[in-house]
Amino acid sequence: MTSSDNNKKLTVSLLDYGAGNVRSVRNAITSCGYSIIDITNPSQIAQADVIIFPGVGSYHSAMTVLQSKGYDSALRTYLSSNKPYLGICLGMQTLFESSEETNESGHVGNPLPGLGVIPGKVIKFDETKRSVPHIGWNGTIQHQKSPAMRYISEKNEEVYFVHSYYAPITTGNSQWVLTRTTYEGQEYISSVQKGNVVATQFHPEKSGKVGLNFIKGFLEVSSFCFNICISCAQLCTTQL
Amino acid sequence: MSCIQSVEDGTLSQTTPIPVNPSMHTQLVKRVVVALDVRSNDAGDLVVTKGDQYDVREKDDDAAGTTTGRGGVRNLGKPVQLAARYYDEGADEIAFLNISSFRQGVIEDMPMLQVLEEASKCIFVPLTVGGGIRSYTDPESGKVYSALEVASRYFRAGADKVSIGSDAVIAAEDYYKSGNTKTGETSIETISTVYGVQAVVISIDPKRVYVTSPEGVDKKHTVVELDESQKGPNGEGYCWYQCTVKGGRETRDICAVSVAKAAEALGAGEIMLNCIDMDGQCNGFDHALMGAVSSAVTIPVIASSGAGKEGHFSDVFQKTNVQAALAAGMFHRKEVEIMSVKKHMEECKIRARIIG
Repeated sequence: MTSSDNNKKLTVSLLDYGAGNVRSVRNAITSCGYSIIDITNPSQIAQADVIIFPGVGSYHSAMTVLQSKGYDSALRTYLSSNKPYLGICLGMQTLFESSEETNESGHVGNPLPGLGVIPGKVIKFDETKRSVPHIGWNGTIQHQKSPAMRYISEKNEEVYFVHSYYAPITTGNSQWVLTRTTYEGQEYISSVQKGNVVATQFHPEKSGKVGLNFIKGFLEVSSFCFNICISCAQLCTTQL
Repeated sequence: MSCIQSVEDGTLSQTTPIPVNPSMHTQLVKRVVVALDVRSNDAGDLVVTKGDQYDVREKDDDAAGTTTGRGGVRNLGKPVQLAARYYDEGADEIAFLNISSFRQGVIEDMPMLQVLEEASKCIFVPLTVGGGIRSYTDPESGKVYSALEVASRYFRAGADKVSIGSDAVIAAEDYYKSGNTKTGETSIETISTVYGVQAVVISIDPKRVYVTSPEGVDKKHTVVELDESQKGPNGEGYCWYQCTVKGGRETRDICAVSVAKAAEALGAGEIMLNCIDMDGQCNGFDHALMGAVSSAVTIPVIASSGAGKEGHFSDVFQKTNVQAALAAGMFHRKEVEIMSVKKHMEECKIRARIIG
């Protein structure tokens, strides 16, 4: 593998819509050696080299903000152009067609549409069978080898989860599954990747060195793409 | 062509499917939490200290720890430095517990905020902050801050969870007094509505009230039977766990199980369960207490108070339903390493997060 040191460093565009604390995500990106630009306007989305979207709050509040600020259609265009993207937690769930988590206080209701990039619905863990939310360190089982996981050992060290809703694996989305995880008998999607679109249900920014290595690997291989795109934009559109 | 080659070699999108074994499963591991009791020393600096049954003043005959002198506050190092060491050594979570009270100054100047801001730059596991999460009146401006505003300030500084102590006991008392009514106004409710239940930890500080039999104890209290080794000073075979407030200085007429149940109903996501009798004794966790509370609620319980060696962690995980166990002093004094606790757990068939 080539080192990214010789390449121009990309800048991470962070989609922080102000619903909660994303300080640790910022610190994690910074500690991997990248600088951050905040997305405050939908027009910045098309120009971004790489977007990290750490979803916080409820699905309802996240989608409402994305829609009211006009980020949703810009994001759909960005995602369909297959540029590097990392969604975290709600940032992964919003990629699906819909979620049951529909009102402000995070309760179950009629499905609310998401960005609809990945087939399937996000649903709530059955509280009668396990305690909800799922909080803590759990393992992952890999479904794909990904350059984003170049610094992650085969040992599958645990990563940190905090969530009440999950995306089940279906025939429609099985190609997207990067890792799966089990919570008390329930299998679910713990990370996804297709092309340059990556997202995790776990919090890499709270998952110790494994999590930092995930972010580092993702950004490093995103830089390759970024540098290639600069040098041969024509080829890039046909290749990626 | 060279461009195409490098795309094939290194870019993000070059994934390859791995054959999937559907019979493989993962599981949630039991957590080892390290707590740092932080307070201002007499010089005004924030230091990490460890109490002995909640007394942090150095005793004349006490040689443990690095001290600031006789009668001074025990000083076991600087909070961020020490927390960073625990992160490197494999702590699954770090809790900063502020045991000095708000004395003066404005909320924005609280040293704990700086500790969190610095800690979150180099520590990438969940951070909990406890102490002083309640409504607060700024002595200078007279402005009143709600518990939610105080908590928000901590979250913005880098905390993932806040731990509520005395306020939760009072909220539980009010909850039962009103016939299990939720007002929506307690600190537990206001914070969990905005930040989610996972962001609210309740810290319970009970002490044992020994009794010779469960008869005669108010029915609202949960009475537990004690093992031979745990019996009271006069051979009492039972006890109930009376909650305290204000750092253990005041007792209330409510038991730990009742507070835990009310806290869960009000929207707490976790219970940090201490025991004043066991604190600093290094004789192991209070299994009777941990068992009683963890079987009464569905939210995770973090066992606290009493850890002194590796086996104490494995014991509490095997004998009770707690999800996590916390220690402070044994790690601060470098008596036991975090990884040796986890290796002991794995030897006892308890899943732990082993790093490196």
